[in-house]
Amino acid sequence: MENVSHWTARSVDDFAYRIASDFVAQIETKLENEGIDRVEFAKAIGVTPGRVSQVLNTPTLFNLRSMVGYAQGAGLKVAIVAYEDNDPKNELGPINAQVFTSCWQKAGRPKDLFELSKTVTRLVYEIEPQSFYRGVNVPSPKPEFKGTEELSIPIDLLESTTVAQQLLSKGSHIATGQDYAE
Amino acid sequence: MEHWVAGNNQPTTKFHGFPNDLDHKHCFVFKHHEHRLYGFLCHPRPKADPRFQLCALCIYAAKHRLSTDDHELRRVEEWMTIEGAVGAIRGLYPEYRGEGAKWKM
Repeated sequence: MENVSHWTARSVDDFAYRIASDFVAQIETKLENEGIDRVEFAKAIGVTPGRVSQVLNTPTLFNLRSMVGYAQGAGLKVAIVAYEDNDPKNELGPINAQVFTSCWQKAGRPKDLFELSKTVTRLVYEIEPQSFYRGVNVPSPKPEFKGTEELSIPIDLLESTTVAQQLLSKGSHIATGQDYAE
Repeated sequence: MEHWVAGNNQPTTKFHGFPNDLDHKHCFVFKHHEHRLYGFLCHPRPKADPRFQLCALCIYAAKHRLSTDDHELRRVEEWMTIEGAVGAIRGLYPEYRGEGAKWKM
């Protein structure tokens, strides 16, 4: 079957247009959710409402500086993320920015890599009819999250053990602390 | 459009459905400047993948006023039920029988 490249593979400009459109969507979603109208937003970033409409309707007008300004005006920050997705010919197009944001939020909004390793270590294994904790059988038929650090399993331990893979292969659920957070 | 395909439901400045309009609850619109592409949402793989959603675009309109023209939405509703449209979708997704069709298990 013939491989068809994504339209953003045509040129750097096309790719840039796509990710700038993604950025606009994030700004507009934020404004929509916060109930901020464009006049108010324009005032916050020091431009005219007409200019806001013009830029949001024409993503190519953005540069890095204006992106930061618009994001700050909406109460957001910006990260430039370079990533590898095993798609060197760009047959699938870029990954949606919201995917990165959602993953970061799911990981507990870590501020650095140290926090990231903390947030992913709290795990509870659930398996029926037995429960596993650190690879040891626990008699409880259904584990309950106790809300304490005793349920933490360092991620390197998790990676070094085959327990997780075994549990996953049996269709078990591996819950993170985030699942129980609220 | 890709933004919607990627799973986003906002911003409504770029696309939205009409979930509160009972007469046009399947209708959907993509917007770019004054350009509007109207279509309807359907689930063409109800058994194999009930969460799979398709937006079948039917009509284009240039819009110059704030409110949506009910006429366009009515035309979309017509498109949704005509056999040609259902058949075109069924050509890609054989399970499809039209929105609201009852399934014999």
